[in-house]
This record gives sequence, structure tokens and C-alpha cells, in this order.
Amino acid sequence: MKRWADNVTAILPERLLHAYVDVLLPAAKRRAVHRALMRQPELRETVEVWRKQNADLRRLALMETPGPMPVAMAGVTHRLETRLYRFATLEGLRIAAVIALLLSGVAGTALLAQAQQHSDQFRSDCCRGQSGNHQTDPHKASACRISRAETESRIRRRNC
Amino acid sequence: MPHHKGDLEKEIDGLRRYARLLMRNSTEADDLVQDCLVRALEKWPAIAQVTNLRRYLFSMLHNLFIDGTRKSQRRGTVVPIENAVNVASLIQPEAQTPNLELRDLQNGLANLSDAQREVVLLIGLSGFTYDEAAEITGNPVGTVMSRLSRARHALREHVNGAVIEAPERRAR
Repeated sequence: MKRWADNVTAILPERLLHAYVDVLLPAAKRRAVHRALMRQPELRETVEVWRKQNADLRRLALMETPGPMPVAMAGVTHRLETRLYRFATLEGLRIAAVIALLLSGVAGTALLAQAQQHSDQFRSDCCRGQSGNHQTDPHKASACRISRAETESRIRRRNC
Repeated sequence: MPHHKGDLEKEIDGLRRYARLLMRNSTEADDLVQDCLVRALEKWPAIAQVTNLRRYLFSMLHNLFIDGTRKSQRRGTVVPIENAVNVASLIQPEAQTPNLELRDLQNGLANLSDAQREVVLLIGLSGFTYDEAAEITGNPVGTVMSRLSRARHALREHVNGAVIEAPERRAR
């Protein structure tokens, strides 16, 4: 099986030359292109011109770069710090608010359940305590029946 | 790993160099970079998470440049008086001959289309790969390669032409 490097024939594709100039080829391909260029002075010259263009672009950029940075641009870090601080503070406050809401919700539910339990217990105690007087006091007996029925319906609802 | 605030500051010089050669007008270039930084700051918490901050910033700069180009096409271009007549070139002393080559290259760059100039600068100056340049400009890699090829040939022709014309200019 032929290796890729052996396939580099007299005509090198241009995209390969560009990649060679921009140092974007893997080492093996780079060596193969280098060897092929040794045999082709015209292509070598083109490659040198492009390489010089890249170097000149960097020189030109260095020459063009102005000295002082505009004040607004130089303050970018400070502004970013302020923004990040503000963001962190807001985020912290948001998290604290969510936690507080959750805690108050849990506490409220617990208190409600406890109150319900006390109320149920009170009613059942009341009925049990009054059971001896049912026959003597018809008003109390009917009140107790109502409260029993109420208690049962509540228990049913809770079970549902 | 999220980017540190110092990472943004490190990229400013590269962005300014690129913008200066792209825009050919230092004030507009600085404005463009400033806009890019402001936008980056606005989106910072999200941008801090991107894998390649440099590529992201250049991409943002590219988008702003394109927006600006479209706007100026509608309004017309404003040319500062100092750029209208290149006074410096008229009083250029002979001792600065090495810079002539760079000036020819600069003129060559100015003659390229915006898209070609952008690709040449992204790859030749800023050292991006073809894939990265394609992502930044939002074009396929093939388009980037063909633009690069055309731009390099055009620059070569321009510089060669300038070298041939140089003695004539001096004779005047």
C-alpha cells in the first residue's frame, strides 16, 4: 500500500501549499510537501511570497498598533468586576429569597398539620368525654353526633 | 472551565490590531472593538463558559463589522480629512525605504474586498485555522480557502506591480 507522502507528485494542490504556509499540516505531510517543493522552484517561490505576506502582515499590525489604549477600553476590567459583583450579589439575594420562601412554606405546612391534629383530637376528646351524658342531655348528644360525622368525613378526605 | 476576567483584557490588543487593518481607520476600529467589548460585557456570565473565548470575540467583532458595513452602505462612508490626502506619503524621507514594502502591502489590503481582507487577516495575522476562520465568518471552509487563495494572489500581484512602478514614482 502506498503511503500518502509517496503520492505527492509533481503537481501540488494549492490548498496544500496554503496549509503548508500557515503551518496547519501534520508533521508527515509537512515533510512530504517540503520535499516536493525542493524539486519545484516556482512553487517554492510562491510559498516564500505567501510566507513573507504573513510576516509582513504581522509587522504591519505591530506598526499600526497605537500606543495608549482608550480610557473606556482600559476600564473594561473594572466594569467587568463591577458587573460580576452586581451579578453575584443579585444571584445571592435570589438564592436567599428562594430558600426563605421554601422554609416558610415548609414551616407553614407543618403548623397547619399540627393545628389540624389538635383540633381533631379536641373534638374526639370532647365526644368521648360527653358520651356518658347522651341520654340525659339530648342537645349535647346531637352536637356530638354532628362532630363525629364531621371527624369521620375529615379522616376520609385526608385518606383520599 | 469558565474564563477569568483577565482573559478578556488579554484579547484587546489582538482585536485592535485586527480591527485596524480591517477598517483602515483607527477611530472606527477602536469604536468597533469598544462595541465588541461592551457586548461581551453584557453577555459575560454566558460568555465566560465558552470554550474558545478568542474565537468567540473575533466572531462577535466580525458580526459587528458586517452590521457596520451594511449601515455605511446605506448612509455612505465618512472619510477623515487626514485619510483623504495621505500627507505622510508626500513627505516620506528616503531613509524609511524598508516601510515602502509594508505600505504596498497596506494598499494591497485596501484593494481587497472586505471578505477577502477578513480571511487574510484572520489566518495570516491572527493565526486562526481554516476551520476557525470559517466559524468566525460563518462561511464554509471551501469558501474561506478560495477567498484566501484569491486574496494572496491579488496581494502578490499588487506588491509586484508596486515594485515595478516604484522607479517611475521616484522619477516623478
